[in-house]
Amino acid sequence: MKSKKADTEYALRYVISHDGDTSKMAAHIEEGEGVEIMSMGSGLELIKDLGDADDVAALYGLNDFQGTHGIGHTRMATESDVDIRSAHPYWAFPYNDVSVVHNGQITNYWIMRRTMERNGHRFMSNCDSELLAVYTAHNLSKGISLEDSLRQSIGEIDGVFTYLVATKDQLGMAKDTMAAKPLVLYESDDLIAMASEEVAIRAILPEEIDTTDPYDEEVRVWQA
Amino acid sequence: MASVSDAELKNMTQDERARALGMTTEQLTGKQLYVEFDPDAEERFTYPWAPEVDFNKRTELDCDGKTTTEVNSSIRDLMAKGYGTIVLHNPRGMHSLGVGILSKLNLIIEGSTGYFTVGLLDGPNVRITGRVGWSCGENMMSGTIMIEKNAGSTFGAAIRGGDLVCRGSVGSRTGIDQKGGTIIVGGDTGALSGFMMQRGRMVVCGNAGKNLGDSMYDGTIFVGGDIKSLGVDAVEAELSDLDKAWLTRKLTQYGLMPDKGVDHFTKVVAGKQLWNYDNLEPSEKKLIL
Repeated sequence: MKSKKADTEYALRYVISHDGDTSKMAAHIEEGEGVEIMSMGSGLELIKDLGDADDVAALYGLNDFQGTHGIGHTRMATESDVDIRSAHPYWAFPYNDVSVVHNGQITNYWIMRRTMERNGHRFMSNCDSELLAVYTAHNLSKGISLEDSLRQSIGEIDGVFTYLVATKDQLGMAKDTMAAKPLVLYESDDLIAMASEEVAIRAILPEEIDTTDPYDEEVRVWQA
Repeated sequence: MASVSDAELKNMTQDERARALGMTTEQLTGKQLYVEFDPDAEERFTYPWAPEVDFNKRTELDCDGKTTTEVNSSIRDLMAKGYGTIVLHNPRGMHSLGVGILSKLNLIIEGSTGYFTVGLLDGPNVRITGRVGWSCGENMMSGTIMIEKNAGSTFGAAIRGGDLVCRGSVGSRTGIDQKGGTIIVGGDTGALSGFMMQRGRMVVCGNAGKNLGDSMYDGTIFVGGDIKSLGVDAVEAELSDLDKAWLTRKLTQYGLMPDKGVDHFTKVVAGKQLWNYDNLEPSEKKLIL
């Protein structure tokens, strides 16, 4: 059973009630000609589009979203196309409720991608950031905790990276061994805020607050 | 005032201009150099075009709703009017605030700032009540910068002179490519601090991350806490009485003197096994430099 929630010129959003295997359902949906699932989740919705962040937020009504946590990304394309497929956040077909935003370059992307593809995973872009979503989803599907997956990634993923992962009920971060990519963290009893730049945090928390830079190989996970 | 006029400087080559302003070409000697200013060049510490400002003439500037360019232009306009103490309010993480100020000024920033805060300074005294982002004080020539909270990575990258002080903790690669001056950190510092350091001194009152002083050519790092690991060619050295006296003076000056004194500090210097240009023939130096 499905009901149409909202749509844009080319993207449709549906609420679907389904008790079976969601990966089979996803495969069935994509049997339609020209149909591609942008994201799928039972507790997490992923929005991506081209344009200014404020415009995209208004188009999809993001200000009306209710929830415990969210991640966002404004991409400056350096190594792949300017299109929606290459935009963050990334998810991993057909896994529910995993999304990733990433700042950095992964230097063993093709090796790791082939490893993931041999395990049956599908990639929707040629952007290295997608690897982190597939890698995380793969680990979570094997019963590895998000925290362990993040720690494991620091040893297995080569390159420079800081990335955030949102699942249905957790928010996590990992920083590579060189701490080459920025992250500013604000943490209080009732709010976590992270951004590449201080100015992004100050836009929502204009009052004076204490922020820190997580160090190399640092991993943090917060429970919603 | 300087002994050369703007017109004379304009007609000079870049090398002549650099020498006329006291920025003489320096060669790496492989020896420790603590003298960072030439006393004979004292009269040239002020740029010929530097505005005459009065520290007692104070004004305030609200950054809210302004771009970085507008704020930095306003600082210059106020200095041209003789204001010697300028207070910035509501910076809210703005990048590149107060960069490129080349004359004396008391600059007080009430709040936190973003990347490249007060980089390329030569002369001002700066106090920031909040936190700063990456590369604060980058390429500073002289002056003082005091940060009351934490700082991001590459704190004091490539500084050549002055004192850069953070009361809190800083990110990774603090003092990367440091060529002079003093960096003082009240808390901890991250990985690869002092990477490729060439001169000057760095003091970390707390702990230091991995690969401290990696590939450093020269200079000295003092660490009051634990060092996760030393980098390539960084070695521990004996803390001398002169070092202790200097640490005591500097840390007392900035209110960061530990209760237990400075005897526990570890001194780290270059092992000079990796790079030592003095062992090279001139033709080899030319190839490398």
